[in-house]
Amino acid sequence: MSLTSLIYLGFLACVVALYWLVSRTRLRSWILLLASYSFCAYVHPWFAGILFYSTLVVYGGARSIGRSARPTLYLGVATTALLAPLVAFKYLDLLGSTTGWFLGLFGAEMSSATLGLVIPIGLSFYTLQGIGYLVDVYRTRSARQEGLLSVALFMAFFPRLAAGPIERRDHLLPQLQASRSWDWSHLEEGLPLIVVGLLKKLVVADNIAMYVDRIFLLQQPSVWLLVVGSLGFTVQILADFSGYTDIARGSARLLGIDLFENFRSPYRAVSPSDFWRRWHISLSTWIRDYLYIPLGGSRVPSRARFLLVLLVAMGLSGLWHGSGWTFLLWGFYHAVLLFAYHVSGRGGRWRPKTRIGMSLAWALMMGFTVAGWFLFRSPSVSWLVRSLSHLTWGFSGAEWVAGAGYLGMMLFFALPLVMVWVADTLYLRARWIRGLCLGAAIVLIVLFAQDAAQDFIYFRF
Amino acid sequence: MTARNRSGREEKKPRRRGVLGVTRTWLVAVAVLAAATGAALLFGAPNSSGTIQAKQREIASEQPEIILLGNSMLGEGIDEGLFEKLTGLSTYKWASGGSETAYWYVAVKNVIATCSYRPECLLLFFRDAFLTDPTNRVAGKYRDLIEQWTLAEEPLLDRLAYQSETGSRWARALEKAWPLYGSRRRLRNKAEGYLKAAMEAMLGVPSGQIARAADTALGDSKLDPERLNELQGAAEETSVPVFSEVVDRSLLPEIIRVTEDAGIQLILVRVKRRSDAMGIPQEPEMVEYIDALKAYLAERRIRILDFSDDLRIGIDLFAAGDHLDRGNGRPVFTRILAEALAAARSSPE
Repeated sequence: MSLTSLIYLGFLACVVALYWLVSRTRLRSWILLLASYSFCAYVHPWFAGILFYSTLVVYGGARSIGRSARPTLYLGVATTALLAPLVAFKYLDLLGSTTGWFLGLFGAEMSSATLGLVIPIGLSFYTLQGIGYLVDVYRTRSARQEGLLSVALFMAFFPRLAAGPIERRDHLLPQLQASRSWDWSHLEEGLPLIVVGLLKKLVVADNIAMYVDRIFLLQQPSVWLLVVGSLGFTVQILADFSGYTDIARGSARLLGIDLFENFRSPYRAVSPSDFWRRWHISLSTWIRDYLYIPLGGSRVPSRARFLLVLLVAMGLSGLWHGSGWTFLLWGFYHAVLLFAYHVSGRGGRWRPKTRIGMSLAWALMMGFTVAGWFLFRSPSVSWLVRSLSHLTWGFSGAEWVAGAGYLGMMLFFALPLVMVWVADTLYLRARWIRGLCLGAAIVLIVLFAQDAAQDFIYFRF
Repeated sequence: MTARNRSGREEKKPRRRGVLGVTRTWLVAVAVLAAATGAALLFGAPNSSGTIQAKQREIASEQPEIILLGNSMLGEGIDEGLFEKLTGLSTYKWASGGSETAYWYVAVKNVIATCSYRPECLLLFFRDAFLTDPTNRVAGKYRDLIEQWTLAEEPLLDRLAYQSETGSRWARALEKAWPLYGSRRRLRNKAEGYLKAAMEAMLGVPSGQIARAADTALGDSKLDPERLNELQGAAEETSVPVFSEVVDRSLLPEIIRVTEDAGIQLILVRVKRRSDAMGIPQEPEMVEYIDALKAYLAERRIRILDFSDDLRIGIDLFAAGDHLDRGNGRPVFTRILAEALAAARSSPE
């Protein structure tokens, strides 16, 4: 069920109405759980089975960690059991094809048959959330244990199920367990978030995607077209993912629940560290807290080891995004960027002191970001190698005009993002201005949404 | 628009609101929608009579003996001039990239069959089992293609073509009830047209140059054939239906009836696909489907020219995807079709 579909909006309206109609907290939890499993099973019923398995692993693992004298062992076992479906559904084909390619180098042949399994909805997200929960239980060793209903709802809560935000035990669980009463602010804050999310996804991301997809389908694009395509994808992925997050947060808000904010103007970053504090915040903080810091972080004794830690953390973060080597490359690329900035004294919370310095740092980081998205969007490593090795700096008149035309169209479709940014920055309090903006957003959605909406990019992860 | 303060951080404690405050915000939003609807009404209800009449005038002025109708496989595969020369028949090629049965149905019914001049013969190019799938390529940009040739009421299209597209019946009803929604394609196309014109003026290039440049620089021949095949394969990965179960739910009977009533000889042309040229055997279900289609057409005295296993069209004649190469494949297929047509027209049915 796509979050941009009328079916979802109808489903959400029913769940919200039912949720607020009952007053008992436990009953509300059951309603949300039932809704979440229905959402999960909408495409394939067995998706709900995988989710239930992961929930049992997390619940059982947490109980064992909390009560056993050997919590580390149970943490390892539960994490492995939790990762198993992710590896099976997401990475086996990649491992198989890579092994086949590797053996081919030595003249050996291996069947290229792949399993072609469909990745269950939200698997990557709830797996990380479950691991985070287990580690939190391990670290606190608290006697307080959540019941199965709470853990199940924590894992399955439908607004964030498909593509996050990746929530934490301390943040989401107390909200799910708390009793609350209806307030019109839920509606006043939730609905605009959903409208803005739809605007970003249906008007900005989907329309820009048409141009970007065409460019990345070229056999040998020129530098100019690659720049245009990469710039377009830079806007598309922000609009797509932040649009999803807005719809998810808006949906949760209607239920009186606050989800993590996932984006904080990421393209205003002036350094790689700054970028990761602003982009996909729930993932980057997860990587930081459960991978980077446990590996030693920046406090390791040597630079080489620091680079290794970054490569592992960011490489895994890249691979988490998709079972393709381009994602790993993208992760490594960011690791190297973080390392280079860090060793040059511009890591952490560094910010230039002058305005010119800020502008230069921003421009440089923006360039690095766009180049990173180029790696991320490349269809395959072979395409990437072929494109870069045959890169032509010159371009024909037709390429220039077509590229400029595409760029102009993409800028046009990016305008609503500017509108949203201005509205957010000015923090429009006056109700009539908010109403005006909402009305304008809905008009734009009606006029410019594609009839056949595309899946969210992060749904694939 | 979101509930954030100036520093971009979310407010922790939402203020309690009354229903009146919320209503006020949304009343303004509804007023904006009403104003936009009024503006859309000024442009008038969407209609396609202008494009239909223009096309009919074009056909009437050319007075072709044969019309070739199909999608990009016709566009890339047939050289109209060479075909005319070889057959000695004046020809009008109507190739619309991405078109499928729903498009061809409205093109035949609303343009060709009702034109003041009617051709002797109509060659309709199709592939695989898509001729009896009215729901194929009816959404998104394909819908725009179809809507150019539709009348105000298209009950058969509503019932058959748009039936499986989620919510499209509702969308169709909404289009009729809400002028802003009904004219969204026209308004959008207008906006894009103005934008392109402005960009062309800024770039100092003639009108329509951006579209032509995109065709040249980003055309099908420039695309990665391997990935194009993958995408096409994934998009069309559907099971082959049983012909007798789908034909009455398709637009084919109506296309046959309309051409018969208009006195136009209909000939179906099954084109060869890349997979056929690669020697990949057709699924048994597809063979059964085509046999049933041929028997159905024979009963109705409709000819079919099947080139799917023509060995003269080798894999070397293909460009990207299922498209024939313009330099080599196009003249070869044009000659083969001209020969086959001459043979078909000279032999008794």
